[in-house]
Formats: sequence, C-alpha cells, structure tokens
Amino acid sequence: MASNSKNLAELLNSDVTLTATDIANGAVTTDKLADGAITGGKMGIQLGRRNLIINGAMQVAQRGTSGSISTGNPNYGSVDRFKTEAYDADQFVGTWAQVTDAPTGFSYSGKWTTTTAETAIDASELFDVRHVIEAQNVTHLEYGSSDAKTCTLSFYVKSSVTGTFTVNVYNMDSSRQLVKEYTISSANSWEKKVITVIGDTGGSNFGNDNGPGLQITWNLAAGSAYSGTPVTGSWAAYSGPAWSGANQSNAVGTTLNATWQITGVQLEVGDTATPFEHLSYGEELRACQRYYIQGGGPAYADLLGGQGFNITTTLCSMKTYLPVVMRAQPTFSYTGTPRVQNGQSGFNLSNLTGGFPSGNEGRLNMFNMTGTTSGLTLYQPMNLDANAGGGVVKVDAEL
Amino acid sequence: MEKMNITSAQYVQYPFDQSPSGIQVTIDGENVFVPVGDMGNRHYAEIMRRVDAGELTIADAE
Repeated sequence: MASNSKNLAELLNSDVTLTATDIANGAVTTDKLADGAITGGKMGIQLGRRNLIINGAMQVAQRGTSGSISTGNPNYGSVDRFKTEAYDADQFVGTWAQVTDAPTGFSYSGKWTTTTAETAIDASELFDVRHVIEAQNVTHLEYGSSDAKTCTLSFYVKSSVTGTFTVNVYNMDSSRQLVKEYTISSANSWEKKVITVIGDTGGSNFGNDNGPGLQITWNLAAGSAYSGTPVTGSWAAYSGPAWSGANQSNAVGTTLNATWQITGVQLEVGDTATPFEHLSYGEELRACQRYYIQGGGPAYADLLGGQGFNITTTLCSMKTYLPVVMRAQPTFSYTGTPRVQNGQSGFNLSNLTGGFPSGNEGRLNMFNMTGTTSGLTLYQPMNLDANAGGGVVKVDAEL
Repeated sequence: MEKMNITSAQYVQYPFDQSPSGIQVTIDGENVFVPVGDMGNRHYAEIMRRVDAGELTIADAE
C-alpha cells in the first residue's frame, strides 16, 4: 500500500471514507477507467476541431439573409454551405433564410418557409436541405474498410410540422447511403436530435481530392421515386425509393406557411454527441470562403480590391488576392454594373470575368479579373469598383 | 441530380491567353463566366457532360 493509503488502524475504526490523499500519485491507471468515464465536461475543455460541418451554427450568410428555394437545381440561396432543393416542384414557392430565432446558445438558424404549397407530391419531386463535405476532409473516416469510423450527427430542429422525418447520409464517391429517421414531437419548439452514423464497411472510401465527399440531406418531402422503402439503418447502395424511407412526412412541402428550421449541426467522429463546437464568426467565414466569396454591394463599393491596367483600349486586366485559396477554379458572375476608374474617370464595364492565373490553381489565392469597356487609355492603371448603382461580384467554387 | 438550365454558351478568349480563357454561359437565368479545364468546378463539369452527350454546343470565341 502506498504510504498515504488507509492504514489498518483507520480501517478497523471504520474510517472507510477515501479522500484524494489516500490515493498515491500515479496510482490510477487507464485500465481502471471505464470506457466513456471521462467526459468533455470533466476535462474542463472542449476538444477542438471536432465538427466536420462548416457553418453549423448558421452564422455566415454571404449571399444575404434570405433567398428563394429553387424548383430546379439545388441552390445556395442564403446560409453558406447549406443548399436547398425543391426538385421538380410544380406550384411550390419558398424561402430559405438566416433568422435570429434559435435555441439557447445559438444566434441564428436556417429557416425554410413554404410560401406557396405544392398541391401534391408527385413521384419525381424531392424537397430537402443539404450540406456537402469535401471528400479529402472525410477520408479519415476509412469507409470501405473494417476500420470505418462511426460518427454522430447532432442538430437542433424546429418545425410547424410534427411527425417522422429522415436524414440521408450519402457517400458521393461510392454512391452508398444510410437513412435514419427522427421525430419532431412538438410543433414550433426547438428539439435536439442525435443520430448515429455507423461507419460504412462496404463500398469504398472517399477520394482524397477536392470533390464532393459526404452529403447530408434533411428530407422535407419526397415523391415515390425517393420514398417507399422502409429504413433499415444500414448502409446500402443508392436506391431512389430508399432515399427517405417509408415514413417521411411530406407536410412541409404541401402546407402553406409551413416552416422547418435547423441550427447547431455537428458531425463528429465517435458514438457520442458532444456539445456544439462554437467557432468565431471569422473562422467560419474563412471556412465558407473556400467555397464561395461575395464582394461589393452599395454605390461605388470596392469589388474584391481589383487593381490593374489597361492592356488594350477595351480591356482592363486586374489582379487581386482572395481571402483564402478556393476549393477549385470558381465560376465568376456579377450583378449591377462594375466599372474601372483611374481616380478621375470611371468606365462602366459591359463584361467582367475572373479566374485563377494559370498554374497557380489550388495553391495561391491570386485571382485575375478582366473588364471589358471602351475608351480606355492604353497602360493606364485602374481600380475596380461598382458604379453609382452598386454592384456585387460572386466567386463560386461550391460543391 | 443536376438540373441546371444551361444556355448560350460561348468561349471567351482574351488576347493575352493561349487558349480559351473561359466560357460565358447562362445558368439558371444568370450570366456567369466558367473557367475552362477544372472538372472540380460543378458548372464546367456539367457543361462538358452535356457537350459530350450532344446536348450543348459551345460557340467559338468572337
């Protein structure tokens, strides 16, 4: 026994209460600890960078605080990294917005509102919210092997509709899916949901590349092409009718003014949902900007800090540095009227294009832009901004 | 399940570029500039898929 342990006399006197001084330093071995006995709360610190989701607290909305839900291609209308879909919808009109209604500890949620309801969900229709994780960020999950890691998905949800909903977890590199159900018990109340995402020992792992890897879909309504097969809770090859199980509620899509909100989305390795990993706004913004950057806005707003010179009398070549290295060569677009100006005169542009300089893709954040106009003076230096009507540029490398 | 509405695709080539600089194209009603050659760009990948399928033609640069 250690010198500071209970001695026989103390035990005979029924002094059986152990105190910290009765345990010798270094006496407690790892084997004496039960699995899961040490929780994050007991450690007093929150282990960092657990969350595989970007913008899970819905802090960042570069595109604006509200956008429309496309009835065609899934689109990013508001909250960064979360896209919506109303695939093949007929009558449906809806919005996807960043709102301040959120559970305790959060400032924002993403809110789906059905402003014109679908009269009926046809076979090919699918309504959902999605988040896609870049493949090289999930290769450590070791899917397709016996080492496949179990993850836990947790999120807060609130809806005007109660009932059974589904989450579809999809390996976009091997076209395999796991579907899990959750229940919204009370209308218009925040509820925390925890879903175990078992590792997939079948199929293949995610590619070690910048393409789409793991997709999480919160289904809100599904036609027969995407529903009907009961949930098994196991990974399987993609099957349309298994996409949302057999019990998915369709009421969010078919009910006027129906709402569905989400925040606090966390996907982490392990079988336990730990407290949400809050990041600063700046950290989340930088993470989002790997996929999308928006600049400009009001009259004369600077547009990404573009600076350059006129290479012809109609073309101005400019360079800038983006805040981060983007995921891939981005699609470039603008609204309003950008212009180039030399401090004395402004020249509205009839076109503005942009892309990575050749040979630097994926390594540097250098970005080239070319403006088209007329009446330029050859080799004169220029700055890029919006004209009096304002303007916005969008640099899109989303998954 | 990409269902982009893609129209009016045309290559853009600036005087200082050896090869086409990009594709000016309308996607879902928005005029965008898509860089050439990176299949990691979802718009370029879909444009090329449709070109290969004979569903889309990209006009030459002016």
